[in-house]
Amino acid sequence: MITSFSTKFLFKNIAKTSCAFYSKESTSSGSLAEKKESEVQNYTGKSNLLEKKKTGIFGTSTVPINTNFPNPKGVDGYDPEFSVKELVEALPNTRKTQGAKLAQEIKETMSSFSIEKTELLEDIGFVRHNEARVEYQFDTPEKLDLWKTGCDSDWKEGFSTCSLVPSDRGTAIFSGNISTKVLKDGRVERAGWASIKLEDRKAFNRKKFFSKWRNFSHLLLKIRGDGRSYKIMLHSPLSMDFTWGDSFSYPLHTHGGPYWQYEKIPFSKFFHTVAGRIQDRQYRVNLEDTSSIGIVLMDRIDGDFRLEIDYIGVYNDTTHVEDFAYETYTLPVFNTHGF
Amino acid sequence: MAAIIAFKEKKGRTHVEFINTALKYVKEYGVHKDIETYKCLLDVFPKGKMIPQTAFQKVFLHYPQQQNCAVKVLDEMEWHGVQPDKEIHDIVVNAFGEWNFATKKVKRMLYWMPKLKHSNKYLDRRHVEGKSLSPSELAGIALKMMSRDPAASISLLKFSDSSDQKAKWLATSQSPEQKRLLSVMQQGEEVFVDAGTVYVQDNVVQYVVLTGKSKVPLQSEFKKEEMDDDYSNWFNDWKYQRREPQRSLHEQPHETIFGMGAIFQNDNATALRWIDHLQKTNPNLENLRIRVRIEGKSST
Repeated sequence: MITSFSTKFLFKNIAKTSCAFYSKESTSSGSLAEKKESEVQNYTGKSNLLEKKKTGIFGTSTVPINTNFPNPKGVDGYDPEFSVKELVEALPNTRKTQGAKLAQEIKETMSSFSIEKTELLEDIGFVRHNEARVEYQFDTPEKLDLWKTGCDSDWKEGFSTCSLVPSDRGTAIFSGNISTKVLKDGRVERAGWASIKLEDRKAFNRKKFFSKWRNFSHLLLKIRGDGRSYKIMLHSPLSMDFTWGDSFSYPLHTHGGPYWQYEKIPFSKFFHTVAGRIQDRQYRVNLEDTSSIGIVLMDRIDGDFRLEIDYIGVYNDTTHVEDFAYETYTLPVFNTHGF
Repeated sequence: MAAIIAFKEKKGRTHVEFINTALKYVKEYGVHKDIETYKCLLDVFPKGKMIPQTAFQKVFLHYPQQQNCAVKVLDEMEWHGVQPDKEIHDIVVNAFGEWNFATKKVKRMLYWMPKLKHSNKYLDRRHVEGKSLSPSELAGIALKMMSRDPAASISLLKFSDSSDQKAKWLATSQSPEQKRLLSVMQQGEEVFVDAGTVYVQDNVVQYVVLTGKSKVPLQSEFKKEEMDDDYSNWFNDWKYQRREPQRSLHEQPHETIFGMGAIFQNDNATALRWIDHLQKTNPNLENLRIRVRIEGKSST
């Protein structure tokens, strides 16, 4: 039930496939896409398509929960077949990379340990009107590496493509092609999505939460789009399996053209979704549980797309006093969600 | 539609099979954006027969095949962005009862879809949806969406020099501030004409843009505010603040945008006609070196 300390960081190639896991919408779970490409091609004489998903006793779910997880350990990307020899070989490299991360972390904590720092004051709650903080930029390859891309063709569930490349202006360009053509394997019902997702972690694979953003009122993005409507997702998976699909979403509309667009989205307007489905019981996004952010395109329009991102940050508007934009009804005591 | 009515008259039993087959061909017939299609399809289900009567029927999926099929129709409707109305809700209620699973789906759609319908502040979807717009009209909507200056005026010019008048047109969007920026350009400076594409819902519009080098030095967008209580030279601070160079909206970080437009076909020769048209209102343009960079970058 509880995600234990994962060995995922030992295997970089596996970690990369897990990025789009939570942003998938109505296509079914990607457990089968974990199969290696060579394995699929070895089935000569039989159909090259993936086998049909088995329905478990608890039914199928598009959200990864421990009853439909690809391996018994319940850890995404966990391979029970690896030997101790491999582990020993990987150990020095892991110690080096994670040790460097830890040293950087300690250094940052020590340097910001002063009451004089404005950032520390911001974290406590002294945020003034019109104050902004830029959190994620795209001007170096290291910063770009924090973002993983994913689209339905990565999971062999469609024909869309996408890429995230740096531009010569110090920005990142998220571009590709969306195709709503459905793969005829009898399993996939909808297709046509592409997304980028942040995979920013502290040393030893610990989660980094956006708790520093909690005193700001808006999410701020400087983007240049193409007139299509994207979607922002604030992912907040926690340790229990029923929260693994939790995310808070809001559409990101672009106006296109040569002008830059400063898009400010109030945190109060994000609504609760699980695997892209809006939930009946709504509550405000809790930024202290939110650990990742993603930008998804799934607007059912075939064709090329292009979104240039300069930075992602937060902004404070003290005149914005709204706590939550949607009705939060009190449900009856006996309801389908439990007490 | 005629087929649906014919099916209803026959009073067959294979509702689910009929609807599933019909749903496959909805897009092929081009009626996937029409709410009447979905109303007709859901109306096929018999009324009253499938409403749960006992508590057991209410808790468990009563008539599961039919309900799943109805949810599938509603999901298809949502996928194509068709807004549900009260009538479609009533059709489902009459077939499956007030709080059944399929009815819950339509209630959720009725709750959420109107909420997010007009969340796009850049484009009023009422101008585009359900209308067959000509390319020039679409270009006008696209230019209005892209021009961030409220003072920009959008004009359309139709050519009369050909036999088919309707096919040849130019659209331009320029604001007084952009005209002023263009008029202060020095003799022999370079301006560029580039092409781009923009989506107006599911329509692709090609546009052209006239740009030049930015003259105001690049400043940081953020001002670092120091928290000090030193007001001894407040007058000088205030005076300096007023004298700071102001960037206009059109002076973007890496380029200055002098105007935008759309033309009936994107190639260098036609873009020059657009420049000719711009020169009538911007006489300084003839002193500048114009580089048209449309072909080779995008295919027409």
